[in-house]
Amino acid sequence: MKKNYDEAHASSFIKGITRLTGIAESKLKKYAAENNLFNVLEHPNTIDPNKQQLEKIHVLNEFISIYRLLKLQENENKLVLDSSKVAGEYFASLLGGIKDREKFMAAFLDTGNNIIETRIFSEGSIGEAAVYPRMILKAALDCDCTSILLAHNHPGGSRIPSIQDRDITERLISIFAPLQISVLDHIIVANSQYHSMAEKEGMPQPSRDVSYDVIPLDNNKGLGEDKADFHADISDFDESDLDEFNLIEPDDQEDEDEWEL
Amino acid sequence: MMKQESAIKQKDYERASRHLEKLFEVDSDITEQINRGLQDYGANGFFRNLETFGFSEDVFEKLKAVRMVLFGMGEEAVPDLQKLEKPGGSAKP
Repeated sequence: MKKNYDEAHASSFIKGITRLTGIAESKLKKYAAENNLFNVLEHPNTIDPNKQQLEKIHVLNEFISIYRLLKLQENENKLVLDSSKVAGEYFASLLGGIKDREKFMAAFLDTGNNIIETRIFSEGSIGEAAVYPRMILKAALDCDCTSILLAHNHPGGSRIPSIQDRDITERLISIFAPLQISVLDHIIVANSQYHSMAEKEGMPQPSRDVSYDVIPLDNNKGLGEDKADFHADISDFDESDLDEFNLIEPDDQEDEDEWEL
Repeated sequence: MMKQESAIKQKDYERASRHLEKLFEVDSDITEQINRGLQDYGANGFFRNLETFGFSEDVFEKLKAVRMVLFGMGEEAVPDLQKLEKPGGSAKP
């Protein structure tokens, strides 16, 4: 497996994890010899930790997500989400460490794509979360935004949007289109990676049927997860594997990912 | 607007401190000390200046362990890896 880190980083990482969790250095080194070391944070069960060690890894993961978010906020006086890349990194830092539940969030932006507010609209056990379009509509009107970014996580590990993800996106686009509020993107986060619907397959067009009914989130059966083991590492797939699911087009439009309002 | 942004950031600093409290299993006064350090120095600056806060040895070692993980992940939290290691330094997990 290709490794993108050097010995100094690996050694530092292993020592830090050992000191914080009590997981033996030898166990981590053994794992690192054949795998990408950093997968132990994404898939801690692969090194068979005890319950306490597993809990510590989860907490560490959540801390790392917030640390990245704070760094992002500190680097920018105002956080401007003006491209799918920045939006993807932003939501990955908020949702990347969550493995035990689904969270649906929305960021409301002003005309300059500055964040007015980011809110959680649904948070529940896997398969039990539901999104209430009325609540998103009320929040959008309250803060007088001009555009919205949607995001949620797939605890199962697949970044590939399900058919239901596109349905949710289309329904919210259809609700906001008559109000001149654009839904710019829907970011799907799995592990620390993200998938931008706008960048990869394009956002759905608004439909004439506008419905405010509650939308259940049930993404455990993302298209990719029919083929991938629940604990499989997405990094084990290359783009050609993902293309096989017919939802992702080759990412050859790096310069075109900036949104135009 | 600025007030709102600063409140959001403050909430995130508090969340970060609470996660460290859980990870280290320490009292809330330590959490508050970490929270103040994070707010004063920023997330990155906090870990670069760990030595200046006067934490107890146990908390200091645990914070250094977090810094080592961050450095390992390429977060550039540590300017000089040599500073990480001093003989005998180890935190109880």
